[in-house]
Amino acid sequence: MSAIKNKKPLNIWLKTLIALLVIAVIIVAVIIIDGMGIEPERELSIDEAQKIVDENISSLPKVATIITDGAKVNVNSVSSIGNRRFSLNCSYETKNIGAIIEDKKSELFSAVYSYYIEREASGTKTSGTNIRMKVATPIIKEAYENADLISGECEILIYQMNDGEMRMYLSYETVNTCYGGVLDALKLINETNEIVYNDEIIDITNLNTLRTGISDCFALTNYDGNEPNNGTFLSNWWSDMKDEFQRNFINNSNWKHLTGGLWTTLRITFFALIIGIVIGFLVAIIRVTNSKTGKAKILDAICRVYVSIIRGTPVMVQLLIIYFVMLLPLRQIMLNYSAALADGGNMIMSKIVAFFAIDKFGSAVLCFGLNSGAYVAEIVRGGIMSVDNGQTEAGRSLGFTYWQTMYHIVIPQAFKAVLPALANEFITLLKESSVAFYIGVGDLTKGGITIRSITYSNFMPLIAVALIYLVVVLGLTYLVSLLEKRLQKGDR
Amino acid sequence: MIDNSKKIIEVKNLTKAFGSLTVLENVDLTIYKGEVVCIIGPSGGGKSTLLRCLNLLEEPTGGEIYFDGTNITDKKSDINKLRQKIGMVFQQFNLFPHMTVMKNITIAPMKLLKMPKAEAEAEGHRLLRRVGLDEKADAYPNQLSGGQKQRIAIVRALMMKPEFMLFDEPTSALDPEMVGEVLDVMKSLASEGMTMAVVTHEMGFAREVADRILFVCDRGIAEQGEPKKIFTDPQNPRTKQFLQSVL
Repeated sequence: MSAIKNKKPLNIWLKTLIALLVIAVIIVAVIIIDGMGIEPERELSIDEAQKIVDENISSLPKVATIITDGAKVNVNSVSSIGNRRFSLNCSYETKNIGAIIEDKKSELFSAVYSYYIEREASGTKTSGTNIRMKVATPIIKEAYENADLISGECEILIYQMNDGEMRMYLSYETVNTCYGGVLDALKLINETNEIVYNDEIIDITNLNTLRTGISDCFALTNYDGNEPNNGTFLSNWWSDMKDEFQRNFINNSNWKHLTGGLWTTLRITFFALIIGIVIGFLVAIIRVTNSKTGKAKILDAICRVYVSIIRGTPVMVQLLIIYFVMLLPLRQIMLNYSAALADGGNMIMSKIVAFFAIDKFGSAVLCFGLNSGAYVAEIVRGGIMSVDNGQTEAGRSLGFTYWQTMYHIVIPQAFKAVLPALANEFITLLKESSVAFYIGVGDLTKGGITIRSITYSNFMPLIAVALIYLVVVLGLTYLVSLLEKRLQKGDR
Repeated sequence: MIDNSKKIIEVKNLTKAFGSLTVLENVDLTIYKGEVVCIIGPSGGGKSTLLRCLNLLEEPTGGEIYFDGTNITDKKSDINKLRQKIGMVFQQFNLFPHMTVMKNITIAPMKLLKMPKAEAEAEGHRLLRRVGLDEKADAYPNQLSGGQKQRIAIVRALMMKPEFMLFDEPTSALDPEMVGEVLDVMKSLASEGMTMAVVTHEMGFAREVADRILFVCDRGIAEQGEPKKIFTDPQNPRTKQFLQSVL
């Protein structure tokens, strides 16, 4: 008894120590990886900026792909509300642009740098001013695979001159223009000394510019020019619905955004599911083995830390951390290394390294896989524990080893017991994957949003997205019920 | 029948404790080839623990157990290999519910003895016929009655061609009318010379079949001997008291 009593606190200390150690290692790893990459916001001296531009300028596309622009509001629709007043409906899409800017950082730096050189040459005073640049639609489009249209613009505060010293800031902030867009635009204009628009410096002290800006927006965005219906919804609902359907799905083959998105969503779910099952079963078996035999203490502690972290943080935050903090910098390092290998003539290694540089899609798969792994682990652990100990004893008494007993006898029964819970977990996974569009993955949700930004209608694209999710989920539920029936054969 | 020159099991100084609770203390026991040993005694006396120690389902706290001359309590001995030769039948049957009867009885010889499927199934049918359950080969365990399940469990153990069989209260979970069919199978095994250790509350069976009775209580074997002697003239007062209450 006393021996057992003495042992217990030691174990707890050991486990705590190991857990802390693992957390410390993870934190250090994150800091190291983060340190190697480019931070979201960075301050550069002019020498550093020069260096970046020198290193990158030769491989860059023409600087002209970036246009400088002043306040611009994407106006979705303008409707008269009588008495010479207008209501503006403006839309904005924010999150993806951040990811794109991360990718295009060096181009932006060089653009700013040449802009700065030009201004210096022409003798324009730059000291003490903020110059705001916008990423033009083309650059976003280029970065954004399979999108025909990106709505919204991103504002970047680029540099500031003070006392002859140039500092460069790169940060992205977005202008949320919904209804308040005009106010945002005003605010923007008031803070900016000048607007360069279509290579022309526009005087903005006159608020008329704003009106010009708005009308220009009609030309700039892909707004298809249809007036939204005003209060006629009920009287003409059928023809309106038909028109809306035509406009949202048929015109420009808009439906392709949904099918392409669905395909991406299914791919993410499928691969994440495989990762989740593998990790989940592994973690569950380690934890059960430890609780039954006490032979995997360190692995068990690692698994517990993993499960706690995953279950204790929102999947959205995990996705952002995995992509922006870990994999995006890593990808940049690997792509640089791949380029260096290619320069050195080692094409095969270069291609291999480039292949393993995980992109957005891979990040999403990894994130959802890791996430569901933790939940699957808990489900499976419960399932294994629920299998009667007599089953293990029967297996062992026949001469099966611990692992053979697990494999042939315990896990098949546990799997059957947890199948409904696993199915729910995977349906949750499918739905949760909709947050992938936050890092710029073109999934089903993103497809709906893209259509919305082309046609500026909300009802059709969003309901369509919901319906597609629903159909897929119901289909999966049905398949699982078939499998369950098959597995229940032994229960009758 | 009993080959006194060949010790199947030899237990030396066996001690088993669960935490602070000592269940068995310094137990010595030898079982010879062909011998049928019935273990009786009051609940909580350590009967099942003693039996379960014999194939290391319970790990002894101290002492040594030799099976066929091999020290199985030695960490170096391959217990999985040795367990293949020690069949075990449980009170709760512990059939595998996700497999058919045929799969239940053939999985161990196929996976462990690498017996071909056809051969394993032929042997399976032969043994099923022997216990009168050949028509249940494709049924699942939960379609069977308790007595049928236990007969299948005995077949499952026999499929490994064990040298020694352990029965842990094989009839305690059965309805009274099913006890007979299971005991019949065990009797026929005993008559064929199978070495058996049986924990049981069936005194009639013990008296009829056993070569030796062990009365286990208070952390050890309180008394042992031929059934006739134990049942008619017990020496230990605990044995007397126990037999009075059950007979």
